[in-house]
Amino acid sequence: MRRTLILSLPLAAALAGCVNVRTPEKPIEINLNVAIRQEVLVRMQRDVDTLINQNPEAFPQRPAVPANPQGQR
Amino acid sequence: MIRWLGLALVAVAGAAAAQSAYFGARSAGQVGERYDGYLGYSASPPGPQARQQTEAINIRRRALYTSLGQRKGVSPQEIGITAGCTLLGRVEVGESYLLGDGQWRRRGPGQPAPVPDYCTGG
Repeated sequence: MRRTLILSLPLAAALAGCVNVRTPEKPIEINLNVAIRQEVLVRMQRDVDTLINQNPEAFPQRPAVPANPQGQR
Repeated sequence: MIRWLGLALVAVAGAAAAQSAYFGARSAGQVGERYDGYLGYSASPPGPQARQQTEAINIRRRALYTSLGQRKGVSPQEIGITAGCTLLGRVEVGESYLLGDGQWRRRGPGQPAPVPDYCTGG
């Protein structure tokens, strides 16, 4: 099991190399003079999702059920 | 008298209802998510309290996008656009949203969340 893992590592690295070579450099245009690099969009998505989930004061989510609409204690 | 009652109610409501005006304005389609990771106002902007809460949220977002961008060597704008993909995906039915074409739209019943093509990485 362990050996299989180790043996498969170079293969995985080689595959990752192929994907990197194929990644286009040109930014994605989103109109209104804003653009983003596709590589950034993919690479940062996980970090950004963590940011959103860990900062509810900046990304407030409506409570599923308004159990206490008056806000009283 | 009415004003006094209103003040008392606000005091009682406290932190639990701190963003209720914002949520109300969102449901009414007056405040919505933008493609760039910030909140914006549609054609019928909300009252001062919802505006104040919305601006406070945007300031927090700007600080978060800036610090994450600095750590990763990415511009805050690109962080914001990346966040916009997730945040647009959370837009609920009846809420407004803004895409890169500058048009405010409102998610209708039965419509999917407005996630642009570039968000899927394709």
